[in-house]
Amino acid sequence: VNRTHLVPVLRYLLDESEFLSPYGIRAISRFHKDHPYVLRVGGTEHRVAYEPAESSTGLFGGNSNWRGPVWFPINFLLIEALQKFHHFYGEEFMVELPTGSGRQASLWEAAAEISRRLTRIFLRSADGRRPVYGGLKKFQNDPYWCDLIYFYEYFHGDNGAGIGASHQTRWTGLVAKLIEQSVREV
Amino acid sequence: MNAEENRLEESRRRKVHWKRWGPYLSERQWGTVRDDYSPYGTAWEFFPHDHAGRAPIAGGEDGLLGICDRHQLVCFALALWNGRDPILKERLFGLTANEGNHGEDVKEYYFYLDSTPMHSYMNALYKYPQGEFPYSQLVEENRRRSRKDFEYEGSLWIASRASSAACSGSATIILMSGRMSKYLKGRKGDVVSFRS
Repeated sequence: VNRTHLVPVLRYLLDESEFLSPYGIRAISRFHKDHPYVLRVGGTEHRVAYEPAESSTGLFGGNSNWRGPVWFPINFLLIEALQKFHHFYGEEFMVELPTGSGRQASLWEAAAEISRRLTRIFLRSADGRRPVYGGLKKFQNDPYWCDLIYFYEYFHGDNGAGIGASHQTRWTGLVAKLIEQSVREV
Repeated sequence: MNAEENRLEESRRRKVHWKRWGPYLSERQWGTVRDDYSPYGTAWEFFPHDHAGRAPIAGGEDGLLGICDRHQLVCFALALWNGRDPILKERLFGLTANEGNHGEDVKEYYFYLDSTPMHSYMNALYKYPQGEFPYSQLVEENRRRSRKDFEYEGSLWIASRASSAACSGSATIILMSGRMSKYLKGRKGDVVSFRS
């Protein structure tokens, strides 16, 4: 996209009521929770709504949901894309981060913010809980379990809880790369 | 250069074949398309976990926290028994696509904790309950749940009293395949025991 398109695209991407969740970019905007996207083709009505957790259909074996959760491969590509745009447009190109906050940030900072939110999935938050383990008490509290981390396939679009295959190490392992980069920046 | 970087370099220059052995053994071969000989391409139903201990697997080998050579000719894996289960724990248990609300999925607790790039050092943890492993409970509860529910991963057994400790200090290696017997003078299913 060119600069003209990039601005409105990022306005949606960085809006917390649309794509920007506390734990990364959602696969579908949260706007569609109450406003499903509807398409009528040849008398049949097709619709897709924001579904932050498990898949509601049997598509792809019933264990993949690209209609709301946070997925690492797409988020990683978005971070890389934002960094490339930053390389091209430089520090002068500012966006509101998050949208509506009034805070201006460079594209590099926007990429870093998404990276931080993704990393937060696995880290203990202020209340001592790891978002990745949601309501799993054993993993949250038991000293023999609480430091064992699963690299889930995808994550709940609102609360960051791990969903899907628990050993999707290949792409969710990208969090190691994100951490490495964020440490270098410091 | 540290010791592991040395090994990387030796491997790159093909001086030492450090990558010959590694954690290349599949966690499971049941429920994969490689072992699907069904007439209608129903790979998941054709070869569920329940068959894996009894029928030969053609498309590869599997095992618990296993290692093998890069051609998968010699495979080593853990086999555990808590003295209660009707079967040995030789491979990861799970459900096929239509058995649960989450689709095809392994229902086990295991963690790859550490590894060097050359696999000269690896560390993994498998949590095996000292009580009976809830095979049938996992099947039944997942069948009951709808797509609106969260998947059932057996939180009951990890919440139960005696089960949080990982079991067994001794390990047993099972000869995994006929191909392996060439190397180790045994037949498929023979048990070679040693203390780990």
